[in-house]
Amino acid sequence: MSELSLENNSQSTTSSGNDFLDDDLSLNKMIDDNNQENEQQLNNNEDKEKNEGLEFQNFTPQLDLGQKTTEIEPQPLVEEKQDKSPNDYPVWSLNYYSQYFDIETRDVLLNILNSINPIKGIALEKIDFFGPFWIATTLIVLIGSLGNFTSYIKSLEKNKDNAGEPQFDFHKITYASSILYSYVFIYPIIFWVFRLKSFLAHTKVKQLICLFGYSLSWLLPLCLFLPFLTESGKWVSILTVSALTGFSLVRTILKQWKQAENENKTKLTLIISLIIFLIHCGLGIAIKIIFF
Amino acid sequence: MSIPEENKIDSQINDDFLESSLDEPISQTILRDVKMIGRKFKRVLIFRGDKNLLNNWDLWGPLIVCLTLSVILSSKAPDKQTQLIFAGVFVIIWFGAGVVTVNALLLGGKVSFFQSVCVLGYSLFPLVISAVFSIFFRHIIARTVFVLVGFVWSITASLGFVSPLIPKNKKTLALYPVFLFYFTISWLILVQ
Repeated sequence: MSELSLENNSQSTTSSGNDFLDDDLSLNKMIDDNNQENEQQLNNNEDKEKNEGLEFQNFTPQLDLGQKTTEIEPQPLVEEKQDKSPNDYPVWSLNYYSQYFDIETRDVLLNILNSINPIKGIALEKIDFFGPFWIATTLIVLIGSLGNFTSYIKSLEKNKDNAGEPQFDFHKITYASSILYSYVFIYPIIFWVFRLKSFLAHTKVKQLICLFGYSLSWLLPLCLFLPFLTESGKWVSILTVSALTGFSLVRTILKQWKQAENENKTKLTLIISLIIFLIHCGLGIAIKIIFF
Repeated sequence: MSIPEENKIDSQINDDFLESSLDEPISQTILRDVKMIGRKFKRVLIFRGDKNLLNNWDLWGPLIVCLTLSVILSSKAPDKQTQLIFAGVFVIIWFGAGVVTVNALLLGGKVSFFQSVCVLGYSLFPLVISAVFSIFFRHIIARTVFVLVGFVWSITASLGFVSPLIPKNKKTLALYPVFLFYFTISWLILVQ
């Protein structure tokens, strides 16, 4: 068995390491043969002892151990690094969470581009927490700054002679952060906790968090344009984008659900998709009302 | 409790600080630390000199930066929000630096946590300077220019430290939060 595993090792390493491994293979093979011979001898000895009826204390287990340790001693010269996977770390250490951040720039960008697709639903490349968290944070910064900018423009329009300094409202940032962070993190958790057992039974929390996070991503470019539109323009654009992303979100979740089986499909589908859609659009409308 | 001058060991002449630092007058100890902090600030402003200066991190610099910014920004705030802005700026700077560092760590970068927080804090110094300027020049365009210059300067200062430590395919992901952090603070300064 050990020979087989050594062969697998040699196949998986690069060619440059193969020379060493071949030597070691032969070395290990020699040692294995030796061990087998020794074990056979020991077994023969055991049999002899039993036959003779002598009651010597059986030291052979210790000797067996001794033989086995010599098997381990000659390490392969090209050692594959035994990296701990993130799951090996305890929950309170930082390294445990690096599994949620195992993502590259390309993946994040593709996730964002794919997050508005009302026909096929959101197709995420990879599940991660990086996207949702930083999209939410960027959105908070943008909404905070552009919201204040909008109120400055509004105050300019009202008192045209009063070219005063921008009245800065820091509360906008605090409200924005609580709304957005709860939408991205707390709402999916609540949603997941209260999911019906037959519906979305196989969805994991992190998928939901990722989904809801990325569904916000198209509000970002929208926010850049909002202060410069007229009132009706703002409403139209916010409603359009919210509807589109909400619809894609619903499509994605329904696709997940189709894999499960349920009898009262139609009614349940309607209710749950309506709830998701309404909450998503509600978020868009809330952003428009409170900040812009 | 001052240490009498006669008991000062002459090992000041040696480079052996460890043995003599217990016997030197406190002013000297404090001055040495202050000079160290000053040197780090200078290093952030002028990118010449010892590159590893920021490796022995300390959090005094970020604290000074944070307090200065909070005081400046909250003094210019509308009356009802003074406390909120002071607390807000404080939180944004410390938690922002912490979150950016944790993000870089989670993406697989090999930085030490406090060192990174230290660098991010020290690199805010150009923005502090532009904040001080914008107290005196209230014209909107001048302030925009100052803040923009400070923003670019701060980003250059911190990028030089952070970017070599991140794996290549995740560089943008790790650097974007830095950019966002300084953008937030620049905007807060601009709007005052």
